[in-house]
Amino acid sequence: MICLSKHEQGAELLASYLARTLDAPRMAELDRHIRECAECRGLASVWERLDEFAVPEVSPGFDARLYARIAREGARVWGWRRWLWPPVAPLAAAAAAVAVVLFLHVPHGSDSVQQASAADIEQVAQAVDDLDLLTPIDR
Amino acid sequence: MRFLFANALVAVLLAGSVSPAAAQVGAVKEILRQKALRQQRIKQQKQQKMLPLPAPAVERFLQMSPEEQERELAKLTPERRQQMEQRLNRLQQLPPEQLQGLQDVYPAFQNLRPARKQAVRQEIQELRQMRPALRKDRLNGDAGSFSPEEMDILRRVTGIPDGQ
Repeated sequence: MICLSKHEQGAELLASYLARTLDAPRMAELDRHIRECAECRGLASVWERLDEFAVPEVSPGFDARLYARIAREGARVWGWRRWLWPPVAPLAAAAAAVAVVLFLHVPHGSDSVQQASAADIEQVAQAVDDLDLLTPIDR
Repeated sequence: MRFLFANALVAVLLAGSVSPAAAQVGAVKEILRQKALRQQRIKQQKQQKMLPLPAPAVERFLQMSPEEQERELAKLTPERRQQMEQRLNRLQQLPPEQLQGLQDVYPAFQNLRPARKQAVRQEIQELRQMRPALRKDRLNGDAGSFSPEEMDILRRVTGIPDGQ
């Protein structure tokens, strides 16, 4: 008997069970077990609920924009007067100069695309896989 | 006041010493070049009456400059990269009627829940490997395991209409 909460590959089995991709005897076995085992029933229902959420597509450069916003919010808390505090001012000037230099030296791409992370390209690759798979079969 | 003025001067001097005007001109040129590339692609699509691929992430990738694409592709493993390039190449050479078919199927597929997407992926992979006659039987037997929306996707991909 397979108990999802105790089985080594319980998570994979559960995902396959919910996707209905297991073979018929295994599906039947799990159906029976889930009816009898409260723990597995709970697991399955939680996963099914999670499944109801559509995963939104994260736009390229999301991380960069998020960090920039966090930085802006942080700066607002400090207040602009704080920057005039004598020991901070030279550092701020130097940091601004470095930022300007970096801005001018980094080649400019299409704004958001420029900051794309490895996750973005994986998202592209997955979309390409799906498009390829969904291409009508040449009969 | 004098202190502030001195700081501003230091900042300007620092910026001026390490970012020559040439760098600014280079950056502007790069932006203009990429704009031109993008416009060229849009123009090509219009001229050839090419439909864009229905996946926004892929279209964004295609609109990148070759250097940007290279930078992005370098983040993938060599095998994954090769696979993606081959598939993308195949997609770009699709005849218009197949591309038109994708315009309807892909959004419908995207609307499925993740677990159902996986089930449909697996079923299409299996259907693709079958002989046409067996494929028809299998598809007709699928109605019990897939929703009407999912069956519509499977039928569009296989080109087997309902009731056949």
